[in-house]
Amino acid sequence: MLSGLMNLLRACFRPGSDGFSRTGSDAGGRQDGLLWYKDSGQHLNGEFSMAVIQANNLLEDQSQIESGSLSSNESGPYGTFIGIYDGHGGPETSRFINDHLFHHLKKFTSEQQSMSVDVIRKALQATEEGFMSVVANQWSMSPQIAAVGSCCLVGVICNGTLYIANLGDSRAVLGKAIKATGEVLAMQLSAEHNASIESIRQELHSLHPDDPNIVVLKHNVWRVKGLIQVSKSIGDVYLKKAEFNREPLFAKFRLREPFKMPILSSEPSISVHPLQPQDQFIIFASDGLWEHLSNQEAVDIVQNSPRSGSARRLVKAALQEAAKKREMRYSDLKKIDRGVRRHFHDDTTVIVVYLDSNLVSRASTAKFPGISVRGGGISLPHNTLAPCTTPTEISGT
Amino acid sequence: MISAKRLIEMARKWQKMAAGKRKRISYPRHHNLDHARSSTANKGHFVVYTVDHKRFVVPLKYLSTNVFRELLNWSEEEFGLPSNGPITLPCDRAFLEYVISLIREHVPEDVEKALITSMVTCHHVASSSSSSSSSSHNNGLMQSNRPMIIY
Repeated sequence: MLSGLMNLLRACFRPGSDGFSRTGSDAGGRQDGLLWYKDSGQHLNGEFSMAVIQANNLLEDQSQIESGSLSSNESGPYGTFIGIYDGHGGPETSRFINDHLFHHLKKFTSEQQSMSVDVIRKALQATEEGFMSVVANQWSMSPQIAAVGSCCLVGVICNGTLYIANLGDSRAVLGKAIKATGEVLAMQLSAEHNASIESIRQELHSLHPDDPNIVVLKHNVWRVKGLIQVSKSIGDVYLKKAEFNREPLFAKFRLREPFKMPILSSEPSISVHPLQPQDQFIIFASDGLWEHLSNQEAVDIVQNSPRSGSARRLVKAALQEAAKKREMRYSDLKKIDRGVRRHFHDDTTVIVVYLDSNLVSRASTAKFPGISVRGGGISLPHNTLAPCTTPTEISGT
Repeated sequence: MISAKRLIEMARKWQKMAAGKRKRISYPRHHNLDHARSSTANKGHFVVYTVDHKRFVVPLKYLSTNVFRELLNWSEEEFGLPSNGPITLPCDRAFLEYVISLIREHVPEDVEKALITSMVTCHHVASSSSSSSSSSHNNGLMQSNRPMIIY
């Protein structure tokens, strides 16, 4: 806190610094209008680049990269943790994950004295349970909190192994060099849970055989119960526990028929990938990016540009595509205020993590100080930030 | 709160004025129709379509008006956020022209509020009955299928 303040003061007084109203700089990253970025940083196993573009009035995407000790004590194991949390219905769940998941992970790593799929699963479960108790506490005052949720994509690099855990539709893509041809190919590492995917719809039907309306095509988009595109998430308690699917929650979130088993799942898909020397980099991003760029397009952009600023270039490429789809200029799209901007593109977060092959299996932190960076956004004056933001219903209903 | 009768009177008045000015507020674009659909809006503008497939090129500053924000929210409720194409507003050309004329005339706040209320009411009536919303607002002032641009 104090060091953050000092950095801010230093930035303001540095000769020639651009300390004007909406452009700021600190050790963590820079804010330029609705764009936040950290062009380059060092994690235990190489470099990284990070960028966030805000569209919603309150940024719903949260993100973090933590590198150094992955346990509560400094004895390790050491590695890098990456998290992308794409919230929906409000920012509360994604913020909660950003504040709690990594601490849970460190605690379970210490207990088990190593990194494992089980540690990651337990950390996610503890985070889900923690948020459920927040909802239970706030329910009477702000029932809307029951309809807030978040996707959650996690990557952990530890001892030459990459773990990917996912709930929802964010995505991790590996750039892998093919020796024979010199190309860098895109390999998707995460399983996605979006009802637009046929296998996900089949899975939902087999889990809910008595409910023919478990997935509904609405506005040309498949939605679980006609409400939500993802089938797995943290939060969205109103679709997991029937006791929160009632008044005083707004009618549009309530299901007509009571449900016995959770409609959305909080069981992550976790995969393990032994890292190889030809693995160049991993792109972690919320669906705001993947809506506009294919895996290979994104990998090509990263491969063909300098490491510094690669995340920002990916965000720019996605926004240029979004502007094209809306039949307007990219330069004009950038002028649109947060809030109304959500009609033009989604909040988008990108973290590019480079894998330096001689650092990937590095197991000590002899010369590495450890880092912790969180993706930023516009922070509002205190009095406009309600403890739980309740979306205003359209007047006259 | 403004009375319904007074609102209708005001609406009639504005509609009349709008009809008179329509020729001046919306211009057909001067290029090939083939390109109209996919072309990029000129600088400082964004694009919306109406349900009757008319293209409007609107100054960015209109995005800061409550009426336009309400129309966009209404569009999101009605059609969802479009993932792969332009924005469609859930109203027809005549209605959007009318709304634009009101914004151009800098209507008083209470009229704007009344308009939003009536939009919301109409919206709910429209979405509760599944009847088609096709209306014959073609008053011959505009040639159909031509994109429109607002200055």
